[in-house]
Amino acid sequence: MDKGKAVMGSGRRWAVDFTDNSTTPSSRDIPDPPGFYRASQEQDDSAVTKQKKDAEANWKSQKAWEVAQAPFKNLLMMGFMMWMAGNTVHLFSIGITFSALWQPIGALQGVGKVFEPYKDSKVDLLAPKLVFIALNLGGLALGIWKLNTLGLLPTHVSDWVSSLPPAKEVEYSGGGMPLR
Amino acid sequence: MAVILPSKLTGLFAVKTSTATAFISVSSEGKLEVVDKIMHPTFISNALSISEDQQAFALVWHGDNDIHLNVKQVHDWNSDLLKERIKLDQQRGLVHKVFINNYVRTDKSHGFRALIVMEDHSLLLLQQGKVVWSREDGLASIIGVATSELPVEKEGVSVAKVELNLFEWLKGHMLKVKGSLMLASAEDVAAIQGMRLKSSEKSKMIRDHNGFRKLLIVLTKSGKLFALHTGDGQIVWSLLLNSLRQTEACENPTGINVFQWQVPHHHAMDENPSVLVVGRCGTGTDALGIFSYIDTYTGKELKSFGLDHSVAQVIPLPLTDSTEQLLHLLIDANGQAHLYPRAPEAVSIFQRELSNIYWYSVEADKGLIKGHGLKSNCAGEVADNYCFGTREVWSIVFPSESEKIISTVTRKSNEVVHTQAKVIADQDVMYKYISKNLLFVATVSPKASGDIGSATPGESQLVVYVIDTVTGRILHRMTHHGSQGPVHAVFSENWIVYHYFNLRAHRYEMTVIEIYDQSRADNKDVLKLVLGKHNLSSPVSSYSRPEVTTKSQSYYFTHSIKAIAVTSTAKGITSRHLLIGTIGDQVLAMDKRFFDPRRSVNPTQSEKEEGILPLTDSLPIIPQSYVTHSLKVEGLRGIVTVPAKLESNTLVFTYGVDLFFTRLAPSRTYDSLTEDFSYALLLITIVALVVAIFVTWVLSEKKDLSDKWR
Repeated sequence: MDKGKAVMGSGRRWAVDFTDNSTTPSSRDIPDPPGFYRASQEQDDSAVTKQKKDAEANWKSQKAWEVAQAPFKNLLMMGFMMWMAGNTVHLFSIGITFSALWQPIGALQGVGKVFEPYKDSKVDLLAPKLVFIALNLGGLALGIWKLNTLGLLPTHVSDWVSSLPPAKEVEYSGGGMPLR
Repeated sequence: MAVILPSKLTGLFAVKTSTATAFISVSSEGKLEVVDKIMHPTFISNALSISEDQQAFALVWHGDNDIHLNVKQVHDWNSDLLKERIKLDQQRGLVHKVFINNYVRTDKSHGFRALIVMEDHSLLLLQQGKVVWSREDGLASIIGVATSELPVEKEGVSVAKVELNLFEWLKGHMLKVKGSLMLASAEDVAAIQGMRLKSSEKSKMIRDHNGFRKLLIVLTKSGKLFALHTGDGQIVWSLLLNSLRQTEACENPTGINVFQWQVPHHHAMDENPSVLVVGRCGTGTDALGIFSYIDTYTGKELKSFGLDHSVAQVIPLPLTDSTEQLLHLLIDANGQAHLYPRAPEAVSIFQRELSNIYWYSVEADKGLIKGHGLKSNCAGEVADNYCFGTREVWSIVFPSESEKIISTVTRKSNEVVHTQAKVIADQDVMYKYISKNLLFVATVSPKASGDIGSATPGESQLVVYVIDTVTGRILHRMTHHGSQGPVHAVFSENWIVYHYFNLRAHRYEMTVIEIYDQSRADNKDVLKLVLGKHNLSSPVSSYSRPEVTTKSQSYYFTHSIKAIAVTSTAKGITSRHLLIGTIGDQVLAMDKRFFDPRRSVNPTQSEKEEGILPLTDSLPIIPQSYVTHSLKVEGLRGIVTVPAKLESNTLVFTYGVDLFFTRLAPSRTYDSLTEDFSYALLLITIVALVVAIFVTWVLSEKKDLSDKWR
């Protein structure tokens, strides 16, 4: 009752002492509660940052794997759209097929840019990159196969033979009925 | 030797000797009296009665390139009702026939006009000392056609007529304005028409970029050669061949055919093309031959000479010498072959190919076909470098009691085929058997070789053969029971279409035979084809006996036909139409797709995509596909097609008594823009787009900059 005792006659009615005990260990006079271990404040910044870096690296690698697997969904969607486009050569089917061919090529060209935010010395980006490239190649193969079913690839005999000129004949013969 | 001239005059007849013609009158007592003797070859006309007791006749003779016309009375020789001397503008030969007609002048005297038929089968009307009109009726008996290109336009020398002065141009323009305002009189209209014809594109005398303007060199039965311009049919030049006129040496010369002789490609600016006319001195097969070379640009005879052997066949060879003359081989009645031109260079070129050249002869009366090869020299006393003997290689004998040859046809030697493979449904390939050494022969039983109906269906049959003329191998044989001729056939690429009469069904039929090469069908490995490890382009020989398959189909056809031909184009890409000359003297163009042996009643989806029409038992005759529209080519005898330089077009020339020429586009003009294509609109669109691109680029740059500054 002496702390909060009101002092009659002065202007200040209440006064509370806000001394912080947590940061200054020297003025510690209240014992720690049981089970509490003070974190060693002498640990250097590198450890903290190392932890942070580890967390970041993990997060980055996770994200990289996610990005690497993103083309798979794209693949499925393009596959469905190509199936919808049908087997005849129309504007829609040609457009879908060429966009299905162009997207993997564009993605393959920008592999580095896609993985740039996740670049880290601790994170192994090779494996996700390979998976990314492989999935994109799969998308490209799907586009080429669609091109084949449309009949635009020269895979048949008739594509190579239909422009051959007639073979020259060795012998020549003429004549006919005697002229009257 | 004296000959009595046929005449219809009473009491007067003429006797012709080698030197003169004598006129002898017969009096009522039977006395003969020589009335007159004329030293020139003379012709007399029919008798024309001009009053109740008077009869007049005309007398025509030649003297120094002029025609002397005399009209006399029959009973009074010395009275001349008419005596005229008419100059002829060109060489037309001698007069063959005269017909006279009279008219009454205003002063009640008689005037006479004479219609004369000349040696070159042209008609002239003579009246009052002038030729009033002339008709080239020799064109009604064309026996051979060849084509020639027009001259190339030389720089600086413009062949087109240019308006010489401003006044002429102004006058022409005024006339045209008057015509469009309907104020022109009849003479003005004729003048406008004349001007339009003169300056029109199609009748220019220089070569065309598309190859539509050509010269058609036609040889007529009278021995006269005409050059017709394909643009408007005008006669550019005509020449009565002296070598084919009757002389003492040749009693009865006839022309056989006209062939292209020199076709300059590399020297097109210096040399003129020339044609060769082959004739013979008489009508027998052992009559000596006549050669004549004519320049096609000037129409002058370059050289003509008689041959010392007969002409049984003329074979144009696919060889040319350095002056771009085409080599020809003439086979005479003894089976010896003679090479023309008679030059050592030609002989050396020919000797290289001697062992690969064969010829065949079809002897229809004996019912056999023989194939011959060539030996390096003649069997004769006189050593002749240009004569080659022949040896028999093969012969096919048709049984004379059941087969008589009525028709043979072979491929045109200058036909161009574009590809050797035919792509069918499902991207499968069939290889065409394209050989120029094939012969199609049609035989009928001897009883049925007459008119239709001379034999019963049971005893008549038509057998067709496809024979390889180098080895004598019969590739295909088909029998039509109960059918007979006449057979009209056409052979092109790897198919034959022929027309005959089916006695059992009482209808005409047309059959198509397509020949495919089975020995190449194993080339199905795509990898080998990509790498080029195939033998599809290597030269092929008939001695390798390739295996062939044929497909055939028959259809009913309602018309009887006179002639049949197929369109030909420069590269062979355009689809072909068959040109059928019907009995009604019109030309019908039928798409080859109607004659497809793979037609079936229910075509599958892939066959429909390929374009195969469903099978019907008769061929439809679509009235719009008559090439001759509403015209008739009277007395149609032959159809000739000439390729133009533009791939989608072909030129068709039909002859008979009338002549008909047209230009066809069988697959429609897929390789040229339409005539009313608006180049202006295209240019405006391009310019507008370029401007729009520029403007929007500038705007977008400004917007980017202002965004960056925000």
